Amino acid sequence: MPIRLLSLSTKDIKYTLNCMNVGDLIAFSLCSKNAKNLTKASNRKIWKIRARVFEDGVRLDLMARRYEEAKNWDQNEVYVILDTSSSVEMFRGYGIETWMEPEFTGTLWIAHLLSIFNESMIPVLKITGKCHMGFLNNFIFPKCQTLRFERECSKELIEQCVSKLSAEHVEVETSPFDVSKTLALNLKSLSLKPCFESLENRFEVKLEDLLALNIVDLRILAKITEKDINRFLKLWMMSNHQFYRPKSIELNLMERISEDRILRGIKFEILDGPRYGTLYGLKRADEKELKVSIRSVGIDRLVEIVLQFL
Amino acid sequence: MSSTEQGTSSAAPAEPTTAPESAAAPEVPESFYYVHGKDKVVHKVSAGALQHSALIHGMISNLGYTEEQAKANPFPFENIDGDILQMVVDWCNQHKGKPTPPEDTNLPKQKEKLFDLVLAVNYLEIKELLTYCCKQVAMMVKGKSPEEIREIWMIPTDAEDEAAEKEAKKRAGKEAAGETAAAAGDAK
Repeated sequence: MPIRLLSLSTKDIKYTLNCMNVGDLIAFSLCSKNAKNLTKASNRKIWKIRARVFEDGVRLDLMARRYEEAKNWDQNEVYVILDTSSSVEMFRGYGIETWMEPEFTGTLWIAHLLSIFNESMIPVLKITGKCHMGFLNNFIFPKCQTLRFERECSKELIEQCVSKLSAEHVEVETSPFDVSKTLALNLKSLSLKPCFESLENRFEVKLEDLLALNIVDLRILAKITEKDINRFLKLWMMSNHQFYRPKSIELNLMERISEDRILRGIKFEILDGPRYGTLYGLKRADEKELKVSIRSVGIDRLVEIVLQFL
Repeated sequence: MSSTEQGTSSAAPAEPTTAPESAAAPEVPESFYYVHGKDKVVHKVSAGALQHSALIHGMISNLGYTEEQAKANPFPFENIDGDILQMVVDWCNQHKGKPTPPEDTNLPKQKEKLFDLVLAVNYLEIKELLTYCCKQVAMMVKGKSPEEIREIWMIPTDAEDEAAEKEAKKRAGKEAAGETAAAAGDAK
């Protein structure tokens, strides 16, 4: 026999909604605008949300709790497969279900699913190699915290996606490509590290790239000469009252380098070391400081240089 | 379990039969109180069992009744159906002085009564029972599609909500117009 849920007190409705699993809560939120608002007001938190874009579909994963905290694993995770139509395929522990909302599109489905859990951003958006802009253009994604490109993605796809999608942090796991243009993009954070890290899989970085760098925080598996690093440091020391956007550059070189050659002709002081690497301090005429950390990491004692602009 | 008997009014209830006490009954004589619902059937409940209800517990603390006075003045709950009150009293007796388990198997299974039970329990402020009832309500829609949930929980569609809102506005407008006309008539 049906019961009129909305006639219960707000407290009782809230408690009832708190007893429901995420999948059932999503179903309830689709009943009406009123139901959607009640779902939002229940303040249900989702532990992990991530989206993955394929050739002709987007998969949105919602994980209610950490695995160790979940009472019922089957219903702890909800997967939603979206395309450009108004229907979705839902996996929430009861087999595959197809739900349709005639007024919805893929974009609206994503917006609805995020908004009912009071999320304004997609924490992780992964782009697979098969994805193409023609399909992606059908969606308006909200801002994402991390935009990750999987290893088969082309350079063109990466550049187009980065300019279309708004992301705080971009991670690229592809094979190396010419990164000159990519490094000049206006980004808060970029990580360029191929899936398989090796000497052959490094991104080539030149002095000009470091000078034109427009990324606040860069981490890169880099192929760069000691000479270019030395020239970059010299140019930085010589420049006066010049704006340079980057705050941190982490260069993983995967080969041994000579610290003498990197710091040749530069006035520096040793701030720390040498037990776990050496931290050098550079100070230029306008009082700006740069910390250079050179340390060997891993069993191969491969060198990592971190430049921190203070 | 409590016993019940037909009463005619809250002022003069017939002598109710006492409920069989559990084996672990306290040595100190327990005080009893009397409640009745819409059907005027009087239920005798121990003070221990009634402690589950914050509302009744508050009333008892404030009134300071003797057993005789309590018998003569059963607490009237006219807004609660007799059978629902019976369920509540049964639950309170079953859980008297016991810590409530996380899953309650003794919860009434009659789904048709669940809605009224939630309302009654909410009114009587029985937190633990309310928790179980809300869980039961949530279980009603487990694995159901949005359409099925809309049906089970009688959720109006957006169109129905809009129509109801329009209707309410229209009624409010009419009432306001009526009041203005009446005020103008009075002024003349």
